[in-house]
Amino acid sequence: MIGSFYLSTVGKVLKWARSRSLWYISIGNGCCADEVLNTMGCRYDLERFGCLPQVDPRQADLLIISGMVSYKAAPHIKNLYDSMLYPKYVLAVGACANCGGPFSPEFSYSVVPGADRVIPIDVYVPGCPPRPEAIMNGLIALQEKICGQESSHFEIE
Amino acid sequence: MNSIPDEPFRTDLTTWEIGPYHGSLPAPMRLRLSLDGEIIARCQVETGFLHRGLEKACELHSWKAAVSYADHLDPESAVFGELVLCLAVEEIGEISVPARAQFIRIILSELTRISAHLAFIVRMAKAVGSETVVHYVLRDRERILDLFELLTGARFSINFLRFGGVRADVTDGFIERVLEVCEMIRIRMKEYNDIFTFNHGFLKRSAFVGILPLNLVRTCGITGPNARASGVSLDLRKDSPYLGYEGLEFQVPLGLGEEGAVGDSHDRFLLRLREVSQSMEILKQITERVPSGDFINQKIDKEYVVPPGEAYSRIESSRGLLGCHVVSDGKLRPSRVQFRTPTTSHLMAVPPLLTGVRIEDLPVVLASLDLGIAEADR
Amino acid sequence: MDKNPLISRLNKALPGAVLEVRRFGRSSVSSIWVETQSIQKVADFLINDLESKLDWLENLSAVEFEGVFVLTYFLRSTVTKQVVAVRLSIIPTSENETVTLPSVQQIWPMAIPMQQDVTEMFGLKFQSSIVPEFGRLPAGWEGFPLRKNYVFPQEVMGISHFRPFINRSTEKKSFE
Repeated sequence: MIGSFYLSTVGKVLKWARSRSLWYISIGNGCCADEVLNTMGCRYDLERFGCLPQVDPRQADLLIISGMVSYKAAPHIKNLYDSMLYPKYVLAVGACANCGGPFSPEFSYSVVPGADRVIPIDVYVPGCPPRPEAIMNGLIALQEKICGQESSHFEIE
Repeated sequence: MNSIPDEPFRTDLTTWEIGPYHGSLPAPMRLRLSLDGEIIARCQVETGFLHRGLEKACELHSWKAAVSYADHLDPESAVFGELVLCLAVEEIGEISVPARAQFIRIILSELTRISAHLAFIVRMAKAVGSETVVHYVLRDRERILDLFELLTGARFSINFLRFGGVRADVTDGFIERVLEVCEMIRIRMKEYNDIFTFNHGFLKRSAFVGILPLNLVRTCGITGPNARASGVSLDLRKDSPYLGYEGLEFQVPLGLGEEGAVGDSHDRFLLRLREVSQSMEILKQITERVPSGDFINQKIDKEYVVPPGEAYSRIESSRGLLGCHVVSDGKLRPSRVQFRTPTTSHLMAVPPLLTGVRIEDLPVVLASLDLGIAEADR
Repeated sequence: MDKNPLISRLNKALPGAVLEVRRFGRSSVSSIWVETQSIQKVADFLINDLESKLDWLENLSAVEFEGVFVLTYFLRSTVTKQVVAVRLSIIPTSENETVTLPSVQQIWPMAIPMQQDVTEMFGLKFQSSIVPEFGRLPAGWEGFPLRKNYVFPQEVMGISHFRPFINRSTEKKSFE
């Protein structure tokens, strides 16, 4: 009885609370890092979604990978992800973090073809670099994913 | 103020490793510090976390695509990478550029310089923990990004310049909006000065901190605002003018050390503020005399081939001297595109500059050097 | 090419070091081809030459022309504003061999990161005393990426460096 109550109602509240307080650490590599900075700024204001920049990975729930991941940086990013506490989510911003983008494996020898080869990724935001609106859209998609809803974003019919 | 003890530093006390991703670092880099109490006795810098193989990627693409890679050289000031490549290619192919395109290029360069310096203020304010200024400056920077969007369709990697001109003409009302934004920033600069530049808290954090001596500027080959703050008058817009800078009236500000010593962190900050006002002077002059005519001479497509030859061009970017050595062997792809980036020299000065600095001043010194790790790693 | 006073002085001081003098591309800058092993002496002469005083190494670029490596030292004087390009060429005997050549970092200290860059990307070693500990590539990287015959790695640090093959011709058809 208590268990089912916990799973249904308390679980819902917990999920809602988690999705609305995504404190993040941002890994800034290149141009997408500038767009994440602008999204944090006061015109777009990421804080109204409950996102607060953190320095310590132990206090963060969300890892924003903006820009390319090089082979030299990959072990450090893995290390950073491993030191975060559960539940943890990852948002990949930009074409380079998604699949290599302009520095895809055919043209670049030192960029990992997609950050998902290093750590699991929840939401991919396309663009080179994506607009702040796209980053916010990706964040809302992540919030819906945490709440267990079907995402209505980027559904192509 | 730094108080450096008389006895030599002990390097065996504490070792710190910071980075590559840390809040106090302006970009991915790794520092290994040996500390004597609070004072940094030895410092090693490791970079390369942003190495993308950009020069190799240029060699594997067509000439047209090389522009879009040059644009990724320094994402914050994208137009300088494109401009330096276009100038080199135009020298090889003896391509003439219409006067209107030259003026559009100058407008874009100066807007980029203002935007890059505003980003510098953001990083500096972050380093001393002044959140208000971060948000004020980001708000004003959005207006410049709007101008880029109006002209080129993109906010950051604009990919706008072409060999022999620019991709598109200016839209109606663009020039008026440039002047509007200049006026807005001129008013805002006073606001920044009131709340931040001459704020005693900021002065205590930055004045007399991280003094870049003249001999270090010479041995490391430092250029740009960092060199000018230490008193080296070197600006390619004046010394060897490119585009149409020879017909414009502007001054090259030098570090005077009003609040501290010449070449300290606060001097470098002040100098960039002065450069912003000089850039606005240039913009005011140039918007009055934009000529009419074409904006590009030739059609650039995927099969565009540059005749065999080589050239070395250099410009004054927001961080310093940006050079580009282009070699063509008359084929579909560039034979070699090599960039000389200012941050490579700036990084060389970081270990001697940080020696003797207190650990709490490290973010301020690093932010005041305006390191563009993306362009140093390439 | 008219007689450049700098080159006649250089010929007088170091006979045999200068191989050829040409224009650099289409610019008015003169490029001086020098003998590879004498670059240190040439550099020493150029920085101490009172009339030109080429004290600033602005750029060091390496280019591969059909198996021959050409190094270009773009020099500039902070006093007289003179600009000169000094060039030399090296031929490696085998494909993956590193070649050693004299370093100029005692004369122009700003050459340290540039020489390190050339060493990492082209495999040309410099006889130098100071070698920075860290490069731009991960430790233990094989091959020299900017050489023309460089083959991209299949796997780096346990991460496979290729994407599943996408047949673009069939993909286009499905869109039509």
